[in-house]
Order: sequence, then C-alpha cells, then structure tokens
Amino acid sequence: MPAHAAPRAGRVGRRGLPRRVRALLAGGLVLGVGATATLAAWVDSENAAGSFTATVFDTEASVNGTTYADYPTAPGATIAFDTSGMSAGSVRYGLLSVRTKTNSVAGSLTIQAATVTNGTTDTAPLLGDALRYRVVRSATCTAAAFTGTPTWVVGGATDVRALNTGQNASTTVALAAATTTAPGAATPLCFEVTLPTGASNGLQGKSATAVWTVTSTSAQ
Amino acid sequence: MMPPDAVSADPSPTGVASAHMKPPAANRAGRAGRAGRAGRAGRAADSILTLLAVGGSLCIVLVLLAVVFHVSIIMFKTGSMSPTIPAGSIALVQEVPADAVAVGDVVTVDRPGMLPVTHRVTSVAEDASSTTSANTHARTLTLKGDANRTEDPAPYTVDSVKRVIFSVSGIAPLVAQASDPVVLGTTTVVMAAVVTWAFWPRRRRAKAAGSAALVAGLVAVTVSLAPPPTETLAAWTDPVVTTAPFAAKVIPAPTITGCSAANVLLVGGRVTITWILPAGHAASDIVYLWSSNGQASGVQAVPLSSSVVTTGPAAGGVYTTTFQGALLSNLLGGQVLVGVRTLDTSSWISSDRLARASLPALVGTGSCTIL
Repeated sequence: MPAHAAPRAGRVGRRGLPRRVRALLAGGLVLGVGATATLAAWVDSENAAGSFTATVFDTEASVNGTTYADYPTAPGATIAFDTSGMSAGSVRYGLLSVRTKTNSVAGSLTIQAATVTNGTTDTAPLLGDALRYRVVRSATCTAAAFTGTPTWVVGGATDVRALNTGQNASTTVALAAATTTAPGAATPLCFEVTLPTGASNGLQGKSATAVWTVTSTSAQ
Repeated sequence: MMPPDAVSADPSPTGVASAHMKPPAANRAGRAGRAGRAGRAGRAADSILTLLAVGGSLCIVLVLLAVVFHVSIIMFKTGSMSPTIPAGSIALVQEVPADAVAVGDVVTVDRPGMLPVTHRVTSVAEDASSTTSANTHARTLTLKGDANRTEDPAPYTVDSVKRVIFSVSGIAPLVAQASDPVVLGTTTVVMAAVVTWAFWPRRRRAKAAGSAALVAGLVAVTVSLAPPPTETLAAWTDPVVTTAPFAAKVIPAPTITGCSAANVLLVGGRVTITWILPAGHAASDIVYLWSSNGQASGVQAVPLSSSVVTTGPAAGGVYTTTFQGALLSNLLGGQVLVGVRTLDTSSWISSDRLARASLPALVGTGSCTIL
C-alpha cells in the first residue's frame, strides 16, 4: 500500500483512534478471546485425549490366584476360607484375585457391603451380625498380611467392619489394564473374617453366608 | 494482519487504495473495472458469507440460551449407555438441581479428580445433609449404565446434575476435533483476520460481506466464551460375586455315664458321677457344677477342692468325680443337682450335663438320675 494513502484512509474515523487502529484492535479482541480458549484447550488436552473408540472392559476372578473365571452372578466364586466351625476369637483368611481380561482397559474395583443370610432356624444372637471383616491388598493371605502398614481396602489396623459394610470411603483399588495378548496384572484381595473375642456363647451352632459383590468400573 | 483485498489490490492501479488518488473520472473507470473482475467472485463470497451469518446468528442465540439455561454439550467416551447412547455420541445436557431428578433420567454427575460419569438414575434418596444443611437440593442417586449388569458401586451424593435432553450418536470425534488446540488456534487467527478486514476503512465494500464478516467475528467470540463441550464416561461395570459360608462350632459337653448318691457315716452326703471327656478337650477344660436348690436355674460352677474330687481316667477314659462335705452338709433328706460342662479356650461353654441326686436323711443309699 502506498505510504501516502495511509493518513487519508486512517482519517475516516473522525473521533478518537484512527479507524485502521480500531480495525486492528477489533481483530485483536477476537485473537485474544480465541487465544484464551485455545490455551484452555491446550492445558486441558491432558485428560481430553479425545478417544472415542469403543473400549472393552471385562474382568475375571480367581480364588486360588491361578485359575480365573467369570463369576457374574451368585453364588459365584467360593473363597477358600477354612470352613471348620468358628468360636469366639476365630480368624479365617481367604483370597480373591481380580484382573482384567485380554484387551480390557484399566479400571478400579469396589468391594460392596456383603449380603448376609443367617441360618434359616437361627434366632438372635445371629452369627451374621457378630462376624467382622477386613480386607487388604495382598497376594499373601495370612495374619502377616494384616500387620505393619498394608494397603487397607476394608477396615484398618484397629478397625474391623461388620459384613454389611463396604469398602473404606475414598479408597480406590486400581485394576491394571490388559494388553492385546495377555490379561492385566491381578489385584489380590485378602479377606480376614473374625468372630471377635467375647462373642456371645449363644452363637454356637449358628451359620451365616456372606455374598460379596466386587464391582469393577472401567477407567474409560 | 493486512486485509486480503488490500493486499491483492496494491499492485493494481484499480486497487481501492490507489483509486483514492485518481481524479473522479479515473476513479469511476477503476471502479467499473474492479466490479467487472471481482463482482462475480464477490457476489459468490457474499452469498456464502450471508449463509454463514445466518448460521452464525443461530449459533449466537443457541450459545446465549445455553448460558442462560445452563445447557452444555457432553461427549461420550464410552458406551455403557448403549444402545441408547453409544460411545462417540454427544448429548445436550441441562444443569438441574438434584431434587428435580426422577428415576429413569439419564444424568451426568461430576466426580472429583475423574471424568464425570453419565448413567441412568435407578433410585433417588433424600440425602441426610439435605434436611440438616442449607442445601435442600442434595440427593443421593444410584446410577446404572443401560448396558451394565450392575449399578455403579457407590451412590453419588450431589447438589446438581446435568440431565441429558437429547443425544446424537457418532459426532463426538468431530466436536472434539473442533476443540483441538490447533484447530481452535487456526480458527482464531482466521477469524481475527476476517474481523480486521471487515473493519478496515474503505470507501465502498459489499455490505453483506462486511456484516457477515462481523457476525462471523461475533460468533467466534461468543462461541469461544460458551462452555466448551466436556467429556463424560458411560463407564462399564463388571461384577465378581463371591459366596462365603461361615459356621460357629458347638462346644461338645462331657457325657455322664453313671451316678450314685448316699449318706455315708461320719462323712454325710456324697454324690459320685462318672463321665467321659468330649472329643478335643482335656480334663482341665471341665467345669464342675452344683445346684443347692435342686433346680437347673441355680446351677453354679464349683472349683475342685476337698469337696469336689476327680480321679481318672480309668479304662475307657472314665473319670470319677465325688461331691461331698460342706457342699452337701445341709442337703441331707433333700435333692441336689451335680454335673459337668466344657469350658472352651474361646471362653465359650458347652451345655450342662447334670444328674439329680436324692440324699437320704439317715445313713444309707439314696437315688440318682442322669438328666
């Protein structure tokens, strides 16, 4: 553009800034707002990876750590607790491992409050009310797993829970993603079921069945 | 940024800026020449821009409505709401207080530190906090993905949710692409250029093109101020069910095999029982019982002493326990209960095993019955 043309065209706006400057500023406004939005999108792009491909989420469980199967409905897997009769102070340990199947995305699991069924002819006191439990994340499932500072999933060092309570609040148990050729790494859950010391003498001969549902939720 | 037409016009004598400097006649001629060459292209551009402007105005209205009525767009990354809302769908959602939600609604709830989840409401419960705190809108919602076998593991306590108004499948990738920083940045630069061009001082210019460009600029500003589309999960759930039976044992009681009672010269009352141990227990686990009133309700434990003496085991594991002396001195001519029970290491006790003895008032043999 010829230099001598500029003053004339720039003078079109009679008051204030020359019109060209204002045109540039108007463009600048759009640029500024747009840049802000772009920056926000840029910062946000970490979790907005924008993948909309169909994902697979599928889990399986094992009570011995080696043989895995689907247990979507009751009775499902039977945890290998010592089934001999309990008395006050008895403690039982049992393992449940959960993993994602081949191709599955990662997730997290939640142990839900057990549904407890007492013996049909039992009257109070009921065994199902007296039993307490804790769960840690550990492949070794003995008393040793509950000492020190294990990863608590249900309960804590001095906190044993009734069967009809679920996983500790704000506790997340991760389930590793699988690969296209192999299942994900297992998440071992060690259950400790206790009939506390001092439990009523009237519990003798009573029975109870706990049905736990471990619900896994996909991370994607 | 130089307006595009100014750049193209510069080398040409018929360009707008150069035309200013020519005498009126030359100017008119230049104008005619320019209109001849650029007219068709300009008209085409005009119609396109007008079309864009109409769409843009609609856009602005929608954005304003969205802001006023808290409506926004969510994009589904996963498909547990299929077949209603498959992965890759977008949905128009409106933020509503949680107490306005009904069972069957599809809602998006925020989760701290995670992508929000969008599932169908299966139950609505008044939250404890809604009756005590200032926020009466809080509700505890149970959600379930249509394609999931189980409900979400934990209910959500929320003040407000985004309720799905309608959804369109398959276009989330496109919308997401529009939110891509590169696309956004490019659009920004282009729009800024268009706006600057629209305002650039010129004597004459296609009016429609100018206003359309302005509208386009306005749209760009408004749209970038609108809430951006957010992603949501319709997360999959997969249950594992485990069943664990538990039983409490019964503490076994000893078995009384025989009993006898007598009033013995110089000794007084004496009751002797024979019994055998229950499986898994030692003689030290046995507690001796005695009831002075002859009733089961009066049974109490008595320690081994000169009044309670146990010998054994004899052949067949038989123990013999003798109750006598002070325990029975006042009971001659009456009835007495004696017996045994097992005390487990768990401190649980077995049922009582008792025998009822009748002691004669005079020296002689009484009777004894195992109960």
